[in-house]
Amino acid sequence: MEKEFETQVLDLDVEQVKNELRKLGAIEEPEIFQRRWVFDIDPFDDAHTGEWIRLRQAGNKKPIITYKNKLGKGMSETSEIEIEVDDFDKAAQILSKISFKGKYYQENKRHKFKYLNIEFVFDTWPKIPPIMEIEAKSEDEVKKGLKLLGLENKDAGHIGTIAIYKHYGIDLHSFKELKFEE
Amino acid sequence: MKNEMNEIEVKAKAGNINKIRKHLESLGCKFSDVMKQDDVIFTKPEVDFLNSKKGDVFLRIREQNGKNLLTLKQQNQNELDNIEKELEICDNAMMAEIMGIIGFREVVKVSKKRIKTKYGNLEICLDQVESLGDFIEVEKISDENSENVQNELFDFLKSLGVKESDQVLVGYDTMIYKINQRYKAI
Repeated sequence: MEKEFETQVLDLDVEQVKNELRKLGAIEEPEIFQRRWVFDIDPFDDAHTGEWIRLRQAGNKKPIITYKNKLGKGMSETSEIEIEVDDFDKAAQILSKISFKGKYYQENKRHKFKYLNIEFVFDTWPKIPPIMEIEAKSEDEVKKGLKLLGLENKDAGHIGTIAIYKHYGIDLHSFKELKFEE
Repeated sequence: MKNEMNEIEVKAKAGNINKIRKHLESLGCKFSDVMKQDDVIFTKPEVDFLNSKKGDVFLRIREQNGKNLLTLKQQNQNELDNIEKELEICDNAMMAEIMGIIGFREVVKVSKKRIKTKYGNLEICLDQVESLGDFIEVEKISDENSENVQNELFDFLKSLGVKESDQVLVGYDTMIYKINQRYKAI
């Protein structure tokens, strides 16, 4: 099971940060649309722990089933197993036949930058302002990413989507389907 | 409301698999290359594998000629009448690990060599199953009454010379599971 190191930054001027990254010479990828199903094994709670299966398709890439086990909001406290599959809808049908504690469909848009070995990911979700996630192979690199942008100590930790919505006064799981308004 | 399309099959021991193959070829059937299929079947601990009932869910990981498949089967009226959904996956070991996490346990392994053909809207498989022997299986995807479809399918098998007494009402997994249980009891 692989560990990932990541942290999230909320309430920032996204366009300004993106421009900073461009000035640094970061590699910019086109923004992509993502759709996902989330199936709860152990629903995410106030202690920032939880266990779930996520089926996600990012742009035209192959869909991926990911098992996530979150042990807290620290940078290194998420374990995951990933499996690539060939069909999003068939995978959703299979997972829907298995009993989980909750099931949710969500959409978002992702705009990614890479600089050195650090990924800077800007996620736009329905109903809330955009957020940034910094992801790397080590905690030191994540901290370096924050420092590069002058955002030391402004990160929220890896708090997850439910806590981010809660930060904006929204109960994410009150939406069985979360889509961008037409 | 329209019924869901289901995989309905009948199965029988094939006394002489070569004779059946020749009979089918004389009807114009062309057979596929041999597929080696290695299956691992999983279910939840609360499911009684030998007395499964409507709604019970089984997951199968199959390795077939270098391809990995995940299949979900949800039982309808009987063991050979299921809602079936199949997906290609990239890694069987990782999938098995996830299955363990979501509470599924491995119950049995089945290995076989299979050749396939089609006759009208029927899919026909000739199987050489490790530890069990040779079988013929006929399958139809249908939303009709499963009992009527199973009778229709067995009439077709009889036309190929299969005897009524050779009909098998359970899957290979159940047959092997029973053998394993007997072996454990010795």
